Amino acid sequence: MKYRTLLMSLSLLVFGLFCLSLVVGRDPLPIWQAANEVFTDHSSVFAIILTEIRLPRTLIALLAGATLGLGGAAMQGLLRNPLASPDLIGSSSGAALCAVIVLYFGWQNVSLQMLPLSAMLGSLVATALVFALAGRDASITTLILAGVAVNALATSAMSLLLNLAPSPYAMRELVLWTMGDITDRSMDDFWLMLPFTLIGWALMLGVGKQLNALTLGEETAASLGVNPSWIRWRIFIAIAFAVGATVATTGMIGFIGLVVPHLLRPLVNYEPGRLLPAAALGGAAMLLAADIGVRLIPTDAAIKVGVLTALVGAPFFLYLILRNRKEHL
Amino acid sequence: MSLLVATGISFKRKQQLLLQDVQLELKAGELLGLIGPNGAGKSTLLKILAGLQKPTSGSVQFQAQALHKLSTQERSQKLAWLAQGGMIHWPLTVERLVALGRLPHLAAWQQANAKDQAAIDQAIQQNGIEQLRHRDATTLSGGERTRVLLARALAAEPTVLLADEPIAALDPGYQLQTLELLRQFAQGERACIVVLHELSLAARYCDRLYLLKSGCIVDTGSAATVLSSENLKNVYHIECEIGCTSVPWIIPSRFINDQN
Amino acid sequence: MRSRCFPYFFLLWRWILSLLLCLVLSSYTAADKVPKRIVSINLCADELLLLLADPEQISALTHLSHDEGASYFQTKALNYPTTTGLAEEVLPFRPDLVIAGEWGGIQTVTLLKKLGLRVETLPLANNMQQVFSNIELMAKLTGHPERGAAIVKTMQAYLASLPAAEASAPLAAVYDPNGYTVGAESLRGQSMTLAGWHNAGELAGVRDYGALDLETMVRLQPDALIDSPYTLNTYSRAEALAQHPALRGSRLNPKMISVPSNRTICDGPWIIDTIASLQSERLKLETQRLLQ
Repeated sequence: MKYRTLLMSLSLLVFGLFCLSLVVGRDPLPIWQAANEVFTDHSSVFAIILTEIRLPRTLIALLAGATLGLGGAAMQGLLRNPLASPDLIGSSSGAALCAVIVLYFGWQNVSLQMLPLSAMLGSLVATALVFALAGRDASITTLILAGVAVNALATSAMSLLLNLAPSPYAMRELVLWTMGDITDRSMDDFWLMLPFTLIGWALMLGVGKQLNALTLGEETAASLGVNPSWIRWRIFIAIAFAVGATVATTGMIGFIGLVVPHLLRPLVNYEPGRLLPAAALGGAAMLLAADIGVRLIPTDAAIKVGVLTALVGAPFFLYLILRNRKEHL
Repeated sequence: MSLLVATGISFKRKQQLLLQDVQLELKAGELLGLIGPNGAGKSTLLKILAGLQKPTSGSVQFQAQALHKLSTQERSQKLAWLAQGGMIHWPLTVERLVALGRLPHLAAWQQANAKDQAAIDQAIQQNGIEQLRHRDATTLSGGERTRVLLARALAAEPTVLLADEPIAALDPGYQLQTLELLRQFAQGERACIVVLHELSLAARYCDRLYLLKSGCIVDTGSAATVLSSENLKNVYHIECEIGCTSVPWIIPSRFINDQN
Repeated sequence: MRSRCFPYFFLLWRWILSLLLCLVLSSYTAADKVPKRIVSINLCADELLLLLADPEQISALTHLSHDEGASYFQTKALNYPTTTGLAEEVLPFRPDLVIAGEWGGIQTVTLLKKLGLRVETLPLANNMQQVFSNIELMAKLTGHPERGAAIVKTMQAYLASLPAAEASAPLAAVYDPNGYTVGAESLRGQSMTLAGWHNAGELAGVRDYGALDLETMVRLQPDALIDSPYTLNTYSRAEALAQHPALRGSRLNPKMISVPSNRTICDGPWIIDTIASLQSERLKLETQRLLQ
């Protein structure tokens, strides 16, 4: 498939799912009437459902999915390994931990931006910690092990903090943070995450060529004018921005960063640079689809969207490990 | 005209002196051979010359300008470095892999233009890998792979090519073909330094040789002077049959065990 | 020396044992009379004890009875020692009556019964009738049935004085964290109806207790949301739901009515206060409507 055709069809898919996500719900929404009322009678119930409930949810799914797909593609390109992703190497759990600290202990009252900013800091610290633990020229196994350790630490700290939080409901929200959830967010949440996400995207999309050069190894890339350690920090910071802002709003939605780049890689002829925009679109499509999916599953209590992505993603991860093992035999 | 001049290069890593007071000069139009036993510091020297590593002391001048003062982009446009072995992490197509050589000529968000494509096509043609153009680069044979990576280095249209053992693991046919290509490249304004273990081929193709041992230049000059039996005995601990038709040829005959 | 002392010790132990047995038996026989050392291991039993029993009858309450957010008679409760409801904490009070709740602590209740203590259970109330019967039950257990009867009579008289809900009555929904709401088969649902509101939870098909998603809540367009926050100014996504912009939209913006949590966690005569305040909030809202 031609690269342009691929991007076009992915964009169309995202657009289609975006519209579908506005229409689909537990109860049907007369979409034309609602859309009409958005412009005529802004306070009508249908207009409110469309603009204040479904639109922010859909926009946040779009941003978060694209961030996770893009972050996964960037991380895999940086490490030259298909088993890497921001949630496996601690970026997400670090962000979630700091978001929990800010949200549940009243720090958000200091400033609205405290939430994404602290999540970014947490993401950066956790990522850097994993890389420091694993060492500079670590194998992917060491990196994933370091990631497991940092993830476990962050999750247990989160659990402890939610236990200590003043709100009696805090502890029950551990699942929401560890599995990820995008129900009942508002446009305020969307506007809060948007600028940081866009900065992160721009930083990541700009390193396509350098990631391509890394295909030849760090030294050859350096001879081509790429500064590998600068690229590494740029991607860490970009992931901190985008993933931090996303996790602060949605919790840790797993496996999109792992699965999407892997599925799309053959379609871009394995080129890490071209994979970036494709994975962003693919991630957005996957999260939108998963979010539509959880709304269609008829259960009493709503299923968290992260549960669905993990149900699909975890077996896929196992398959990757098995295939990786076969290749090394 | 001197393209690349290294003066007093020393390099220390973990208290170990890998290079010691190395002097080297590369003139335009020259194909320079860097020879010496394993661990002599040839690859380190080549990386320092390419600006990939900073010498502990000493300096490298490129066209009478300090190498470290050149911008990264300028340096990567002028100096191409071909890694030893050369890994390819993703199964890119050969054409896209060669295209990576154009990176130093592209600005941040710039796409490859016709001029870049011409350079890529030329590099593919020169290396005779036209038929591989759409192949997966990770499935190539050793010889094909070497030529593809060389084409990648040449696609950058560099002034100086620094090639680290480009003909190791190649059959004699490919060895000759590759060295012919380097010879052809090192003409006019351009020049090439190549690390070699094949002494006879070094003698045949290189204008001058530098013989390295334990981080020091032992001898330099034409093949006939450098590849003396005394030098070879001293550096490689071998006795050789050295003959001469138009250029010297060397057949190692016995390893000298120092301990005895 | 030791061998010579042994029989004496043995005799002493036997004597102590028989004394203990007598004590236990005597408390058993006294059970049907007025209990003198009542220990409650349930918050709702605490409240009814504080309401109905003589102060000297109460030996210990639960630790929750000292919690402002949970306990209606919190200041009164401060006069008594507390337990967290474990058997080993209850025993030292040598209670002649232990009152437990219907849910939780089943092991404790079984253990206490095995040890020969009298344990009575206070059922949960899901409607007014059960509130009355609970009050009457506790009054009987504490040996003051006349107090219970008086309270129930007063309550019934108040409820009878309430007007029936009008068809034009405004719509309200209980909106607990995470969107939980109540239906008709719950005490909070009934007190809303008694106070003259229509219950949006009922309209959404909630029977006793269930969650409403935000969209359903917006579609129902309630005039008021009733919450009962246990803690004030704490954050959780669950609690933040009531402040979602979709509910605060220009036309919707339902009135928030807060009922103190110590009136909703347990049931008793104070439900009259709840009904009264819900009623006055409704009247305020209706007056505002008329003035607009």
